[in-house]
Amino acid sequence: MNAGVGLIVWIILYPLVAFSLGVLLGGYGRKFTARVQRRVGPSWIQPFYDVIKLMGKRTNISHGYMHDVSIILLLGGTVMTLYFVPVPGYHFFGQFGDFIVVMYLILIPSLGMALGVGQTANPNGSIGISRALQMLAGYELTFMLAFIGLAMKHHTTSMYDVILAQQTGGIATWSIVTDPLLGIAALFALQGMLNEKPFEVIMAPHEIATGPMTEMGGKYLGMMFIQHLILLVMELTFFINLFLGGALNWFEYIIKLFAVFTVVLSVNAVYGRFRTDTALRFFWKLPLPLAALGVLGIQFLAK
Amino acid sequence: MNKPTLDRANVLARPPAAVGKPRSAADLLSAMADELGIKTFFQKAPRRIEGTVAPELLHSFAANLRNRLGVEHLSAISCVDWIDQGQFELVYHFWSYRDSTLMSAKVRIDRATAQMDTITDLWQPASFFERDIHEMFGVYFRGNGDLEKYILSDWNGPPPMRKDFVSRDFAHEHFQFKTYDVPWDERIQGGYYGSRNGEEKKNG
Amino acid sequence: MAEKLLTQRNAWDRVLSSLKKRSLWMLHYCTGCGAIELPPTMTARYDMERFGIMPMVTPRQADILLITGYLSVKTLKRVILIYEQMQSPKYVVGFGSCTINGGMYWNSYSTIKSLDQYLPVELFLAGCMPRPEAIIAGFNALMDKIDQGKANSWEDYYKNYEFYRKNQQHAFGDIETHHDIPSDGAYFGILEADK
Repeated sequence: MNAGVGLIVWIILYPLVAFSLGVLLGGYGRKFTARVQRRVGPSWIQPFYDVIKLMGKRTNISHGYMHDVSIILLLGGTVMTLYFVPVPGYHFFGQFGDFIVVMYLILIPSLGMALGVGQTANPNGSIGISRALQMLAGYELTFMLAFIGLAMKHHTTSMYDVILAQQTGGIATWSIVTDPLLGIAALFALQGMLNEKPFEVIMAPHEIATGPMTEMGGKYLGMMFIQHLILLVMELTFFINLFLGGALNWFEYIIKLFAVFTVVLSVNAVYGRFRTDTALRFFWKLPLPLAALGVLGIQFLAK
Repeated sequence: MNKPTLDRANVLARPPAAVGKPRSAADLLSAMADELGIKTFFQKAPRRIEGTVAPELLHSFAANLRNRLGVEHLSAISCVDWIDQGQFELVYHFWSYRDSTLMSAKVRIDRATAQMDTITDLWQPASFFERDIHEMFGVYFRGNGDLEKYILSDWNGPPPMRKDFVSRDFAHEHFQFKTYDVPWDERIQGGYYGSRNGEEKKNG
Repeated sequence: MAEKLLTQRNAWDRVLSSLKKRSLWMLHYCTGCGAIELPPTMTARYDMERFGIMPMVTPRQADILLITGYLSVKTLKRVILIYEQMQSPKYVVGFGSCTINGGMYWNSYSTIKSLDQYLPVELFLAGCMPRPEAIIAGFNALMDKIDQGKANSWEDYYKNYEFYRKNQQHAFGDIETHHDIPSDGAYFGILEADK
């Protein structure tokens, strides 16, 4: 899938494949949470029904040009970032952009959402966006530091090279085994990146009416859902590529996706929600020092 | 009219009579007669005292009840519509923390003019009750500058709690009900009890 | 672009409506005392989420507006604002006897007696108040109605806007909703269904 016709076909299909995986993961998430709460739960592909229903709304309420364009920025930015993430059999765009580029591009959807929400002039939306940008100072920093440790160890910033370095000797060479401090810090950061409880404060359904999604309805919300599902797959793939040794084939990849997501969901199902300042304090007290210790360890012990 | 003016600091301060051992109802009644000159109060039940006060004396009665007898809490103000006697009866409930006793002062005002002095300068939250009574009964409280509606915000009919306002007629006049023409209604009315057999059973 | 007549539905419409019925979001806005039966319906014992019905917090994201119980004239004004902020297709479910014909508060001077004079109602659930089993049966009936393509009462608001507006004004006077219903109906092609 890295050259020729296979590449062209894959470039067209990749977002659809990511969306389907996202639907399965999202449905699994809702089912898992329901079972933890001793309920039956919706169907396994429930996010698909949600997206179809949202895109099938007949009337739309637009708040202006920027509101419309921001959704395109949101979804387009996510899809563009998706192409730089290697999956089994595909790493073509990795040669044009490494992990630093991906971390930069992943902020474009947030920018789009902030612009669109700003134009709706709803105070709940503004509160949600300000919280989202505040939380970035917590988890994004931790994840970057964890990656910097890996980059120093393998002397490269390309995700594909990190994957290859991890696949040389089976489980013993996975980054989460060789550098456990970085792995654990990145796992905390993953919980924040996915906006799962206890770091769910930017959504906060009953407190600020779902924050940035307050004035989005119908087709706007449908595209936000699609973006959310693709982002879910993408961020889980980050973690798998950097710390769990990537995947040699799609079967292993899907198993790893569901395994990591189960860990995230298990914490989500039983926790409440931290406030923004509490969450930031938590990130700066535990995961960030762990990542810093890991980086220092790599610097001084790996000589 | 005897209206002692109380400034804010004075109002919020705890009166010296409010601390001390609890007094019995008989002690309270005799204190009321000696210090306030009101002799119409009697004890209704354990910890319940009530009596009548003239409308022009109520404000000073409440002020002195608070300052001289230490009864600090205004519990509620309610209104009763005596339509046959042409009067409204306002009932002021005062609670004494020191004695754990409720003192209810009943005031009769004329129904046609329906005016009364406010006591919001003594207890600021009294304006809540006075607004409610103004909205529901139409009583005007002189001196209360904040008598706007808060429950019936789009209401432009008569005050609804008055006894000459019949809610059922108003509902029939202003709202449309559905009409039902269902067969089971006939069956019950013309069947079980109303059929020829049923009538015989009922009558005989 | 308008909703087709029942005889004109083709396979695509049937597939879409059978997918759309599986994800109805109800607005978590509880008007009267009937709302007490919603938490048991949503939690573990009578789990409503297995049908795809989730509570949502803003009108922009919700499909079902549940009018649970009595509706005073003061609340009706706010409910109209909320209803016009929801996006079509939307379903109003009248919950409890008070929405049907006044219920227990039929002789009150400030509750409305019959909800379908002010909003187009899709489904009435009788009861005072309906138990969770009845609520789930009602939602299943709504889902069947959507599946068969008969759940089109939301169009009635656009087509008979003067009727609803007249009743609303008679109840609570004027209101500024910031939504121009007739022009929205013309823009989205909803008013042309009869033509």
